[in-house]
Amino acid sequence: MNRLERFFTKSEKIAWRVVEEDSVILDLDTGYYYTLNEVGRFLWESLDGKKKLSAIHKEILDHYDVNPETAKSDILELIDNLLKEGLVEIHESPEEGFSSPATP
Amino acid sequence: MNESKSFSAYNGLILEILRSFYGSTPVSGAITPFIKEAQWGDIFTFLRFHRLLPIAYHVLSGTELWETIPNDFKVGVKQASFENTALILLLGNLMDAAVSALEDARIPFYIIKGPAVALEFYRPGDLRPYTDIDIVIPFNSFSDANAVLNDLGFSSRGRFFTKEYFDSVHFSNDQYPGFCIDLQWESVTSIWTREPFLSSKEVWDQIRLLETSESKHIPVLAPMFLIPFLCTHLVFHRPMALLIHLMDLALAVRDSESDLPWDEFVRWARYKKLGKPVYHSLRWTRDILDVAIPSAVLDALQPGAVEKHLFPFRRIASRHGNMPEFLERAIKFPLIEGWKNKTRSITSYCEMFYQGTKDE
Repeated sequence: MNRLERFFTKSEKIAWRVVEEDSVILDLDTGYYYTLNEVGRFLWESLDGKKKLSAIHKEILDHYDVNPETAKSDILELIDNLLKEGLVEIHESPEEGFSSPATP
Repeated sequence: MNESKSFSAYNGLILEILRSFYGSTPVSGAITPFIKEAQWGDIFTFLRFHRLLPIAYHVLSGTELWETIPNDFKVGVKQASFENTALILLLGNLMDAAVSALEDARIPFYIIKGPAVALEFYRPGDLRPYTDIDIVIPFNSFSDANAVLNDLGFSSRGRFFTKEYFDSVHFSNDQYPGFCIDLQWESVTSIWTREPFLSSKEVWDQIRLLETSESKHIPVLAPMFLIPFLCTHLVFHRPMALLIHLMDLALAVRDSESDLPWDEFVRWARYKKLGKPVYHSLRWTRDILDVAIPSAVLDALQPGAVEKHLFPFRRIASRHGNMPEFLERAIKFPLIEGWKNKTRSITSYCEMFYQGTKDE
């Protein structure tokens, strides 16, 4: 499964807020909370089910001065952790009602 | 008091944080070079006690000053802000559930204290820490509301309370230990004065609906009653004189003062025998944060010459932790108007203590 070509949405069992540059994500079922730094927050806010992870990767490269391969491995590691904790859901196609963004 | 822990030793920074937040102005940090390395730990303890850590992080982070602050302090403040936001998210979720359940059960209610002021006056709302949800209901709805909270997993240990001596009952949740809902039907001051406050018809008639960012509507007090309530909360809550409560009052006055019928406000405060706590609280907000309190209001409410200077707010507010309960009650005691009310306050305290031991 190539996760870069998948779509992701935030789980319905979470609540989240921006705290200055970071994000705080709360799992409402467990009461555990997670924090994301500025780049992690950018990725998190982009998980709207409308664009592929590869598109988000490109946007991160446009916004931040990071090595593309390092960014890709960090994004995949983060998305794996988010999936493992049940904070995001993975989809084969974009959320209904939205068109698929172009693959970078 | 140890000078290194005195409010005056680093009051410049504390005041700058408070005033910067209140006035939405940048913090200058001119005082920071004069703060000794060892004092930052005390500042952290102070900010935590007064529930100001999220505000401090909000005001200080992202400024040039932030880079000059010791790392331990920065990490601690940042972590505390994250934890507070997570707690507020959880409490917000619990509040939504409680609000929906009370609405479904057609129980009249409104929200006060932390969650209400956070929603109305703080931007963002999670800068105002709170640890419980305070819901006011009519006393005759208590058993219905009790059943609603039981269904949500909240239960109370208080079984022996009476309307005469108690103003609220505390509910806790086994799933989230430490998170509470207080069902309240009156203000503590009404127990002493026998004058209805939170339960009075005029208060219920003027309840407003506050729209949240999720387009929900939360019933809250009108400013005419919210401001005197926040005044009494500032001085009679234990612990008393917390700076976050001072900020609540300052923000409420700032956002309401131009529309507030101050003459009526003064008459109401006097009639409810709340002149002293209202006077001192408003004066403190003016003195500390330059809040625009009309002079005529303070003149009309001011107590005698001795009492006027009896409460050294800066000294009380300079503490880093709880003072002994007896001492705090002794300080508050002169703020209760009239000996009859003072006597009732002693009686109610004894009754609460006695009932508390029965509940144990």
